[in-house]
Amino acid sequence: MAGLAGSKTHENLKDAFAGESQANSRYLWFAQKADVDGFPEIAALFRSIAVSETGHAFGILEYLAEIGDPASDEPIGDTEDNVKSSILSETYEYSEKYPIFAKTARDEGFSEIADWFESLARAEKSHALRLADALKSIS
Amino acid sequence: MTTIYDPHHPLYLDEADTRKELERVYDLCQGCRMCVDLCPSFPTLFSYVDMHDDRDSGKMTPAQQDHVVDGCFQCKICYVTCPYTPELHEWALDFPRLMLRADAMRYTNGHISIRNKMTTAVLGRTDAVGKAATRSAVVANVIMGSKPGSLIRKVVEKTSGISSVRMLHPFARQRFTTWFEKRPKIRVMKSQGDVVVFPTCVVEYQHPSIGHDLVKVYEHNGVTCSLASTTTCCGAPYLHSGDIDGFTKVAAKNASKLAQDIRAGKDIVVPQPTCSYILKKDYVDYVGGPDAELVSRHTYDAAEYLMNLHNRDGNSLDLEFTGVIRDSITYHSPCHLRAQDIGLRSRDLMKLTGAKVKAVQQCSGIDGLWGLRAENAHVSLQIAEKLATEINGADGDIVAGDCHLANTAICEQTGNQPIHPLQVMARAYGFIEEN
Repeated sequence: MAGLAGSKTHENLKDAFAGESQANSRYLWFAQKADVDGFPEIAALFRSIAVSETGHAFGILEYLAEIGDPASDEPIGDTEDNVKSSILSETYEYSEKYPIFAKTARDEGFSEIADWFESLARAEKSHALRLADALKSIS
Repeated sequence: MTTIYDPHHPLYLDEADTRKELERVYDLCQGCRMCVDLCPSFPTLFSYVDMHDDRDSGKMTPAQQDHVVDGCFQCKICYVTCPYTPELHEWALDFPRLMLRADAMRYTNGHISIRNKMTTAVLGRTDAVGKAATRSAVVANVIMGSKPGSLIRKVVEKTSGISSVRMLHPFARQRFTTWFEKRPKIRVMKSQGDVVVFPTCVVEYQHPSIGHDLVKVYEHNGVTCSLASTTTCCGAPYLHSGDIDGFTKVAAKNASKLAQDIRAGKDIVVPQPTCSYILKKDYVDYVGGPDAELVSRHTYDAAEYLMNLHNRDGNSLDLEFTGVIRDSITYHSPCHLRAQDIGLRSRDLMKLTGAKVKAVQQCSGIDGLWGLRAENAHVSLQIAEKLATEINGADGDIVAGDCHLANTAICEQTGNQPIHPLQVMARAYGFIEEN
């Protein structure tokens, strides 16, 4: 779509994508809580709406994909590009983002949160490695 | 309300039950709305639901429900993108199959208009029309080739319901099977495979050169080709217009004959995506049994079969290209190939020649007869225009596409006739196109 890159609409699409993606996770978490709290019908409602939010996020991503991955700015669309972009975003998370977040948390005295960020970084690294293997198998 | 896609279920054609199921699915679709830009069905559905503040799809009238059904042309792309399909989610949502059920229910209950049936009778009896038209191609092509919007076409629209503004495929003077039987016999050296070609009506009657090139490329690569024991229509036009009995009759006959070919050690190769989809998926659902299962397992799209051969060891296909090599190719990936979940095999095949291939996935809005019906032509043209914009934007040296129906729509919109990927390969090997 000509002229979409860098427009206010492009920014709004990214914002909307973040919102819908968050909504999915929030509602799945709310559903878990509703189960524990003994409201299975509300849990089911949250789950079904969560899946709808995924549909909304997919629809937004269809437009964003023409410009690039909203997370990494890399080209996405076909599987090889998608795997490459995922490796870059996972690598950024484990090598820069979460180590810095962990350090900040420790500096601010939140050692439990710092431990969680460090643990997350290790998990993201394993994702990056698995994706790198997958890339070798298709390119 | 019963969630059923099995045409043999006792409630499959029950009107009340089908309408309750439409209500359930319409409600789920309006909660998601991801498919809003795929076809006319979804915007129609949402506009009816949005007329009520509570967005209650149960308030839609039967006529409004049917209006949504009429907008579906069985491209199956909503199924490809849907997060709630039977494989993925307990909602078990298969929108295109529900539309087939609704069409069949209406057909059985006599809700289909006479003009609609006329269009099916004229364009859907592909074998009868094809045989007559190839025998008198000069005459037939006066109609098919007369300018869209001309008086002849307007008369045809009035009597048959075939849109007067759409480009139609001309008929060939020699059928593919006639060419195949007359051609000099070739002994394949170092045989790597044995296939029967199920030519499909478009290749048999309208564009046999796709079949010529398929056979040449296959034999060049050590695959022995013969004609399938049946070369009659796969039945898609019956299925897609709700005539389940008509479809099942054709499908059962074909499945039994094709199964004999497979039991004789051959695979089935199909050069038209809609027809390969029908053989792979719909024969199992509507006919069932060991023959249909066998046909489903041994049917391949034309490029899929070759790429399977190539992927076996990387040495099975000849990679010396001494003919015409293109720098860049825009490839239209047809809906009914995407719905087969086999990957973009034609793109991968053409890449072997060294060409850069850019895939375009927009639907052409033709889908068998749907886009050629007078009542749909206007909406179908808007969909085809979107495809043309993407094709023009991709700016390849040539345009290739597996679906001859979509290729005609691309030609109508851009002025350039796309060619089948097997034809790209034939030219790359140095085979000259036969007329």
